[in-house]
Amino acid sequence: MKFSYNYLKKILKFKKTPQEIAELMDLHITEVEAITTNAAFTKVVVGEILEIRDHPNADKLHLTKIDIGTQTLDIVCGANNIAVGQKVPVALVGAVLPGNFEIKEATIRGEKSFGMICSETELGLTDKSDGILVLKPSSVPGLPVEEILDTDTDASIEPKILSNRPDFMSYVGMARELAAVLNLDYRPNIDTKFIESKTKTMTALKVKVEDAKLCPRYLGRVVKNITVKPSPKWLQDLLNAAGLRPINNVVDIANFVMLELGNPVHAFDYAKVGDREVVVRRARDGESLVCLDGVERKLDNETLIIADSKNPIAVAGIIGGEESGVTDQTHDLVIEVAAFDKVSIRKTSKRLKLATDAKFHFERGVDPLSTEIAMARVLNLIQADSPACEILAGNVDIHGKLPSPSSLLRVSSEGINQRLGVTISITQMAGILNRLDLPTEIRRNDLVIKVPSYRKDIVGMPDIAEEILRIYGTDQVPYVMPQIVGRPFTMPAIEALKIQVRELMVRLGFTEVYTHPFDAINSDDKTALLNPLNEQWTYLVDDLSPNLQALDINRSEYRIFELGTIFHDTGEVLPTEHQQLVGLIHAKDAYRLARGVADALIAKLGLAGVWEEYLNYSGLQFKVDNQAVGYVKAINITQAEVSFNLSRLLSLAATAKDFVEINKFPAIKFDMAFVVSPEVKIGELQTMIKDIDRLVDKVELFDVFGLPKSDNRSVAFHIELRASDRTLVGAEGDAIHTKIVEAAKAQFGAKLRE
Amino acid sequence: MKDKLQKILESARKEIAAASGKDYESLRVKYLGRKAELSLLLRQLADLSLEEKVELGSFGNQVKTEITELLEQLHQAPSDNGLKNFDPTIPGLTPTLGHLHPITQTTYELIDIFKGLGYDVATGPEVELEKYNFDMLNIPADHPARDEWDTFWIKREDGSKDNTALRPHTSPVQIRYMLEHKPPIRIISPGRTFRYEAEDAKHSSVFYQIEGLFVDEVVSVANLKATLYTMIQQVIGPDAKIRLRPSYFPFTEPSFEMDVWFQGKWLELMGCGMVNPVVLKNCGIDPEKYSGFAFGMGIDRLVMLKYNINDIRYFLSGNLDFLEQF
Repeated sequence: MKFSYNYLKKILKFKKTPQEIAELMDLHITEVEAITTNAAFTKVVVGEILEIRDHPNADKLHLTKIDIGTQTLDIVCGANNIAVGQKVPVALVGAVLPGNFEIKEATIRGEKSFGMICSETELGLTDKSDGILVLKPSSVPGLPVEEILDTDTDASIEPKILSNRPDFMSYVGMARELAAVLNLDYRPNIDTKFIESKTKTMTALKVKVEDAKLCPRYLGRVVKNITVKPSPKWLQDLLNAAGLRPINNVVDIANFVMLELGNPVHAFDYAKVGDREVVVRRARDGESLVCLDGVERKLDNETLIIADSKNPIAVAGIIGGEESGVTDQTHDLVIEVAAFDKVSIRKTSKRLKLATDAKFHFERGVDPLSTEIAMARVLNLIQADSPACEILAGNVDIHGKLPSPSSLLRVSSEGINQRLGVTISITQMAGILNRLDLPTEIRRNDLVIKVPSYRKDIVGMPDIAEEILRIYGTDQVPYVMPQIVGRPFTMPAIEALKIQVRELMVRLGFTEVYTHPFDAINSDDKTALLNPLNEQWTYLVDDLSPNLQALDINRSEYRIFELGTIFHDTGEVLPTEHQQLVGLIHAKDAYRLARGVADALIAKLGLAGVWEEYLNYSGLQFKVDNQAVGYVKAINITQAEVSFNLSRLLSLAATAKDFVEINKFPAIKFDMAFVVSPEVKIGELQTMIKDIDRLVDKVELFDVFGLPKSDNRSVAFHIELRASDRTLVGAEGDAIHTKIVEAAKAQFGAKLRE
Repeated sequence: MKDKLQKILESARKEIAAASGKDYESLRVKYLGRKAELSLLLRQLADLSLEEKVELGSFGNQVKTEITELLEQLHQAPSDNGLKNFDPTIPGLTPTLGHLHPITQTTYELIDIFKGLGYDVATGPEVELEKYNFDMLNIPADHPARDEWDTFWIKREDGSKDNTALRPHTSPVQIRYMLEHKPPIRIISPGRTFRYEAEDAKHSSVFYQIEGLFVDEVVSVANLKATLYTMIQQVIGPDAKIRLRPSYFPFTEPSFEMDVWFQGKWLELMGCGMVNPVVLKNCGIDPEKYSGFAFGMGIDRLVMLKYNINDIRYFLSGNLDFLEQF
């Protein structure tokens, strides 16, 4: 809801600017989401012309001296209707006029000018004007011009309506809050007097509420002999400021009461209400309604509607029907002021994809007790606008058990000070609460508060503490660090492992990416969303790899990884969540790099396991205690992946490390290159060499290439032999060399290249 | 003796002029070493008469100084090991450098800050029970957040709505933690959260939060204010300013939005407040004896503020040009 600054000012008679009011709302009431000024008059003040001289260098310009109360300014002016002694609007340096025109210090044909004398057009008051605007002679120089001009200048302030505070979604409600903040005395002065005819509404209108849960209260009233016409300007202006379009006097009055008191009001054309009967019921399947916006909407059994004896005439609390709406032809009215169930309103509005101002109020909750005053206010305004109308006597009032108008709450003032960390006296507390229209008495150290029914949010001490604090000011609360007893830091083991693994991946040159945890790949144990945003995001991922591979990365080489949750539906209440690492490498030798990264992680994490065949994939999987915890695989010749399930290896990662004594004895180093056929597995050949003698310390592949004229490959290793207790002699090296040559030939058909 | 010194000097001048950097050590030993001729001669000075001592001593020192300087120049001179026409302006080769995601980096930074304030880290599942997501947090059954228009619900096998959902906030971790631990409680819980929301520059269906919970005997708004202020000072700098504005969350009372003064204006950064006694009670903690505060902040939002990032979708884009900036 947008509030007109001018109207709030009229109600409360404060001096603050729109910006100041917005700031106070922000700090003491609720967040201000937007503030818009429809005419900017800041830095435009009344000035008195003291002197006029001709401009020495320009025929049509004048040099003037203007008194603006605090000082005298030199201003160059081009208008011809100026005279000494006139009071005129002066835009000072820094003023921004409509059209985003900023006034600056200027030199006009060699003469300095410190402002501008304005015309009505320049102030945005009219489209066309002749010469400068001359103000009333009594205007006091220096006063802001907006205080002199009777203009449409206004600001609209749009606060966020907190879901527990529907009560301030009206001028009366917001004025009550602002009055408390500004410490002003404010009692709503709502004229609800009107004269009824002798004929009773009951005789002219039947009302039936079929679903009392969805409609706790319904008031209906018949008004006859209405003249439908445009509403007065003040009312149109007020609606415009609130972002509502003026329509006619009846609709505008209904909307005004909604703004003023927070109760949505609907008016039907009495002649269009079939059989003079209003039925509040759920729609029947197949029913539909052409609404006031001209759109026909299908209704269903979940939708509460207002119907006449046969057909729907409104979607309850959201929008009226076109057919039963008030038009120029309307003579008699049915006025509806009701309370509807807020959840039902919200759901219907979502289903119909239709948000109206009435819905906005109803979905936050309308107090059934407030409906009578709202009805009286509507009737008062209608009678004032159309004195000839006939208001039938009494409301048709359908309701169940109504809430009590207020309840008592007793809270300890010490408890409040303790919760806030302040020392506010009990009298100050009571003062604040009374200002908020929460009548409060002091009993010893306690506050006894009469909480009105519209403040459903207040149920206990913390709520009262909040009321006191926000008016008192959160900036008054001191900064006091809590006293704590130290203890060792703890973190779930999986989180610590994630930090460690991320760190390792970054050190290995990988950049971390995040992806959406959704995909469209169905399989039995996947968790499905009831309401996915789109078809591509139907399931929760059970593997990060597909989304990672689907990223559009425009690089010839890269290393990326993601560490995130994967979900498996195991039939338990919640899906199993595991933390998976996937690293994706795009490079020449991608597979070997992936394997190297995997081995580096295995070494750093101290995992003891074996690499095994990975069925159906070009890769290997890593098993610890016969449980697969990770894999490497080639996706194609330049892309490969490394992955670990961190949740599975959590209990397997070594916690303690032992230092291994550095070997001080020299190694025998030699290279061996073999010619092998394509089916020979290099990893197996390497393992054979490594295992051939306990003196073999290192076997490192350093070269692989295809040989010409065959599918054979050349495979070359660096080999190092070393003993931990002595220097090896050459003969030992020769013997092992020979053993390797023989075994390679026997087991792999590999031939040593000379 | 003077001749001898003169001869050493000349020989040194000649030899050093012809030498290259790699000869430095051998020449140093030859001319200035302990057993060098010069050293021996200078040692003999002690046996001479006073006059001779003065004259020869001063000359000997001149010789030593000059040779030292010459050798020093030789040592400093660029050696000729393949760097003769060396071009020091040639562009660098950067080894592949990995980058942590900016949200990870900021999350770790926040963990470090709160670790220093005595907080532990707690986490919970991303698919969460309705009772932890909503009920026990005092979020009423008819609250809009519980609609299908705001939260991703899990689908049962028969197609109906399950009572589990992707958590819309990290607050259920508070509940899980309080059910298992007795006060004093000091935790932060960072994690991924979800909202049913069409994505654009300002909105993402997947986002990241960090939640804080402090429960002890006698906890106040003053404590909350000081804690947040301390945290923000560490994130933004010692001149940071904060303010609390009234707000509403079902699980805190009073509730606030916290703003920070950043680049000349107030920016909303997090929701916070005093834990609603109902929530404590739901978790078996006596609200008469204990009170607490809680806060929750969008990490994405903090990162966007910190680096002036204008589109939240970068975070899940995998765009390396973006990620490599952090």
